[in-house]
Amino acid sequence: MNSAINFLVGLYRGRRTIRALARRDVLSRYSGTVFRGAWELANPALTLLVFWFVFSVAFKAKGPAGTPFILYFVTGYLPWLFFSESLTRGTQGVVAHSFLVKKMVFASELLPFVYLTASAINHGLLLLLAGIILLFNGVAITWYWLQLPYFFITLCAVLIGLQWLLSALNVFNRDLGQGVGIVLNVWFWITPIVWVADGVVPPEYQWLIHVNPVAYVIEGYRGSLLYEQPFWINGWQSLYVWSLALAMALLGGSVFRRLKQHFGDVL
Amino acid sequence: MLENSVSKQQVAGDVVISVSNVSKTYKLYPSHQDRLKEALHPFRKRYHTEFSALHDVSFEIRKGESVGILGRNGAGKSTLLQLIAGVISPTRGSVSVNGKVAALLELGAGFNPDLTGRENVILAGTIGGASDEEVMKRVRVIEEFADIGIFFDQPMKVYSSGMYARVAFANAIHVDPDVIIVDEILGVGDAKFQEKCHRKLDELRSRNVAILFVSHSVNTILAVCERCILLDKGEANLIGSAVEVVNAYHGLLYGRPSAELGKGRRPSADGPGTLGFASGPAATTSPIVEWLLNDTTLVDRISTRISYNKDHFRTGSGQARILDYIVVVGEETDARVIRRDADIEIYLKVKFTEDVPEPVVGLAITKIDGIHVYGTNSRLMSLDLMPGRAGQFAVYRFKFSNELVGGDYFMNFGVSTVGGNGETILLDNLRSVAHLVFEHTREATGMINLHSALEQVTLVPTMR
Repeated sequence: MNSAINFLVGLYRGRRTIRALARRDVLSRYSGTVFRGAWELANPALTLLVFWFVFSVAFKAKGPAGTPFILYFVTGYLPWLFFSESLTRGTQGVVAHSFLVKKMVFASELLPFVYLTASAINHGLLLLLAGIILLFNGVAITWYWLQLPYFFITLCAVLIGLQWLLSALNVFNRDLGQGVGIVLNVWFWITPIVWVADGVVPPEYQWLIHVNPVAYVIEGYRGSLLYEQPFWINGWQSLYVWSLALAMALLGGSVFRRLKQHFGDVL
Repeated sequence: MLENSVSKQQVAGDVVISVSNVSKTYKLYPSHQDRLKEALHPFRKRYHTEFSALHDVSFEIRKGESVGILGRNGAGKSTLLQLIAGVISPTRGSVSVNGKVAALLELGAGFNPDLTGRENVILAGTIGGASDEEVMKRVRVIEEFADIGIFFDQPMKVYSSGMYARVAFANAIHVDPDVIIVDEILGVGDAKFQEKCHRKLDELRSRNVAILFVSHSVNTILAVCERCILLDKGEANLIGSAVEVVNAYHGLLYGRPSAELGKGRRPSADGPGTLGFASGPAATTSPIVEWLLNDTTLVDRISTRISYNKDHFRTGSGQARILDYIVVVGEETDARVIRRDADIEIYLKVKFTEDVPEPVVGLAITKIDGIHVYGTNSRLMSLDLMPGRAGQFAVYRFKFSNELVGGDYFMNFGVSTVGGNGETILLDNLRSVAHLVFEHTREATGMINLHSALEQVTLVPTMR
């Protein structure tokens, strides 16, 4: 308990560090080359366009209750993008900051928060884009949109422990980055992003969706933006996801703490 | 988790660094696969071999102290500094640091090569916990101190190592550290910048900042540090005054075990160029030489000389041994104070305990702080001395005139030989063995009296 309080105090003290590194990360992504900033937004926009064409125009797919496919897809794809981007970059976090970790006293446990902050800015920009798409398709702004921060924070909570675990292990075995890419690819398709959970998935596989914390967040985004669902509608699942996030944070945190002292030797 | 267990423990009093019984062992793996295999092996099979970089090192450093670390390559200097900086943790023992450490561990440390100097300085400042205004104020000071012009706004990967050192040093000293660790890095700066750095280090020391300094330049160590630690093969061999440790370090560098002797080049036969007065009939018939030659007791009489300095340091493998020295100035034998412009003769009596085919005899003059003022030896003078045989002794004479600025100087005497690889093997080396006082020179300061002349050529009236 005491160490948990120390940890939170340390996080508060490290807020400048987090801010400085996140700002640096965002700047390096949006500046440098002339088109780099545009690419950061063009890439997801293009993905949206391709999926829209394939599923909406070619397959004539529809969301539940007749929702246009593009709305169903964009509300699921953006939180997924945040998740996969944070996890991919976060896994490389310690290695990418080896110039700080190796020869300086540096609180490397702050790195997951750096990547979450940096990716959140990207996420915010894309959400604005999504908001425009929604409004153009006649979706009205409701009070339920204010639930988005809750689901966003839930997703962050899940990511923190995972990032600690993966970024620490990645120092010792750099292949992990490749593995994360493969796992994320599979994860994308077993999460209801392009397909609809209800009616499509046979009952014996429904558990796959229930244990998937990202599915919980994605459904939460959709419920808030499209279907006017209050966030407490899936009470048990909320409890499960938050317990999972806490367990991941404890596991990832203790692994990170144990391996941290070896970073300097291995990097 | 956030607090670094190594660097944040409180230490009593004005001790800023306390290193107690610290050992550091590295696990060396034949390959990366083996590291992985060991981590995953179900029966905990060991794939690594252990390398002990530091063994049972203990010392304390107080506020405002500047301490040098000397040692050959691979002696564990960098490991020790990394431990103190808190970058790595000790295998055994504990390192406690009371205060903020600014570490200049190596070129490239702490800076992202893709960022400009300015961006890196800002990033480092912010990570260090300074507010935005503070960081901006600091950046201006650092830019001015580093003085690298437009390169401050270029990515650091295009920097020369000198520019890099400038930015790194400027950054380190401006973060208000309690301890500053400097590893070699200043050596790449030019002379002017080095001087600036040393002035700055002096200033920091006067503000009670402790300085830990690693350099292979003994003169720099002597100029910067009061105390020194000598590391050899991971152990702290000697902790003491800078002069003492520098002497021991030289002993470590040049003193070789006697087994290496005798592998040298073939002894040169007597021939042209061989000195006449080596051990046979003396070329001069000075009474001193006669006395030295007639005293065949082969007793070490060095300590009976008036100028003898009991805090001298002796190294060497012992195949030859300096038995006696006599400083002669004019009529005065065994002089201690040297008159200005006097001619000086120094006699050295050397006993050979083993055959030394190619002996080399030398002397050096150092200032009280170890600065090398002058040195010479028979090899530098291209003189082949006669081979020394076991049991023989020889008397040598150096002659020079006093061109030194007045003050205290130390004499070093040495007998060495040349090893198979052309390296110098010290047989007997007496450092600071004679303490001579050179008469005050009113007209000059420094070390060497160049006898300047000065005249006024003209005085032009101001043009109106």
